Amino acid sequence: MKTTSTNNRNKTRSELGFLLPALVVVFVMSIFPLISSLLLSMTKSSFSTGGGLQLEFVGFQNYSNLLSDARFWGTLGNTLLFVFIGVALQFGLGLGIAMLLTQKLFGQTFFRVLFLIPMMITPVAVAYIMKMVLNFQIGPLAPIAKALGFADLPWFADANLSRLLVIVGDTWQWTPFVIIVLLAGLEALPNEPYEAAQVEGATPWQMFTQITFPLLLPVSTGVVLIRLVEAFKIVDMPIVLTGGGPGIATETTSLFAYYTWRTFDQSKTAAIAYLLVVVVTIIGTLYNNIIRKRALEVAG
Amino acid sequence: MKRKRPVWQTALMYIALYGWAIIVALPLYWTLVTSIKSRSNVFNGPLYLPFIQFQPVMDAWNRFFITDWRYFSSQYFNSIIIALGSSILAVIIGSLASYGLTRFKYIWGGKLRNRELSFYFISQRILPPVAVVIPLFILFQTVKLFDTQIGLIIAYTAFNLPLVVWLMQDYFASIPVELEESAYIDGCSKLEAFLRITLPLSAPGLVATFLFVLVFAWNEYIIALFLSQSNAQTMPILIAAQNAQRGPEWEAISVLTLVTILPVCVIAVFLERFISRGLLVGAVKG
Repeated sequence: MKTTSTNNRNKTRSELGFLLPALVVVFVMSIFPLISSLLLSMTKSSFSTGGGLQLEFVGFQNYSNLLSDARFWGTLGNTLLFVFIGVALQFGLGLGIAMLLTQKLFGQTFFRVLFLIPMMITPVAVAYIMKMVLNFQIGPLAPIAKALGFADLPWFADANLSRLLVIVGDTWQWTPFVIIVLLAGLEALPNEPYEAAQVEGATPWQMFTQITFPLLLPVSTGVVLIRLVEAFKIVDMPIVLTGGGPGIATETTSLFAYYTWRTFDQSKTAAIAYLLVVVVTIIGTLYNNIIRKRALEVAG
Repeated sequence: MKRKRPVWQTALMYIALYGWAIIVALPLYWTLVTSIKSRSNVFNGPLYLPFIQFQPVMDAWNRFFITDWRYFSSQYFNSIIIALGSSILAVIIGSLASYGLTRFKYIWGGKLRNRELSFYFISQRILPPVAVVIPLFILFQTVKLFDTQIGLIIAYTAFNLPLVVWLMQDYFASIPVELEESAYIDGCSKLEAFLRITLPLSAPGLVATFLFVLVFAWNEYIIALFLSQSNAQTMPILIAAQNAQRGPEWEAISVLTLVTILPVCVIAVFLERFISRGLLVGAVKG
């Protein structure tokens, strides 16, 4: 009896050993900062004359200030705009291109690697590349822009054009991720349903809507979920592309938090970040429990 | 193909495919030609073809690799050391945890089980970095890790851990348990069985996962912005800083961009192979 319990204890100990390093990392680098951030967000912080950080508990004051701050709502609106339009574009383009890559067209082996490259580039570099390419004075598209009469497009002065610029950059960068995942998903689909459909004389469009799309749903809704939560963090693209301007037209919530941090208001920064966490969690959970669950049921 | 596709459809497909190829390739090509332009040629309107439309010069490249190499090399090596160090650590710690979660049953206080634990690990990835980075900034300053390579290695390890746990779970689950069980009979401990049997068998998955997190660490910007200053500065920080420091010196920015992209382009070739073999798909479905 005694030996069994020692064995069990040893067994548990060695099994726990596998998990322990990760638990330590998560505790120190995530749980501790999250709790501290929460506490920090309920204080008023200031630097004393000696340079030390002084905190005074103020409850939910930072939050109520933010919730009545037009800048906070503006940046949240921008973030949601970039997330929903960006991810929708990336999914639409990604699905189309992934379908094309299954058609055995000439050059596709090369394209598979080429199409992957934008997602491998650091977003700050993508921002510069976009600035160069979309510069209609000296960029590669200048002759076309001149011919069509929009060489003087005020990319950085017009709110909506700046937003478009961020969306174009983000879509250029992340469509490849959707392509590559959906392509692998498409290639893993079973052959039988297609053979049966061919016998019944289904058109390619019918095959797409009746077979491919439903069977691909687990992969497509998964890839959208990943892009959705990743897109909420968007900050590096606008920081270089537009600096958040004009005004706050392209300032995302993460960027707002960063700018606030630079004014040494640690407490307000923490509160902004926490509100963003709440929004991401709500939207991620809603998406997962309503859309994704239903899609998985359809796919069986 | 039983049914013959009409010519116009094939033509449309080619137009769409090659159209996207141009959208992807043109910006990359433009960065390359800009990097070999002289300052005045950069602003001389759109010049596409070296030797034909303009005389290529290596000014910007020379500046990076020769004149200012002492300055740039520190950022470049920072990036290499931090990306490699954090990815190796993340793969070691993450695959241990991932293996534990696929093979053993953990129960914590009767409620937290494997499903919840692994969901918890993976959901870390949802957190926007700004939500955790301020306490880390204060913590790192207290323990003297602020603006150090080790500090950023630790931060990136944590930031990449969820990806490793997530990608490797599917891989470990596909390896038959019987192999490990026979190793136990031969007297192997759990760790030995994992290291000698499971790990070699999952080598392709490990390599692909490693490359994946390597790219993420290499490209990371916002955490480095908070947790480093001049000493541990990485390439993305250096690139982003070009905005304020120099105005649009496009040829210099292009060189910085290219030296940062080239290593990961090599990785892209390998990753494509792994991903088309199904890494990711299993994980994305789950």
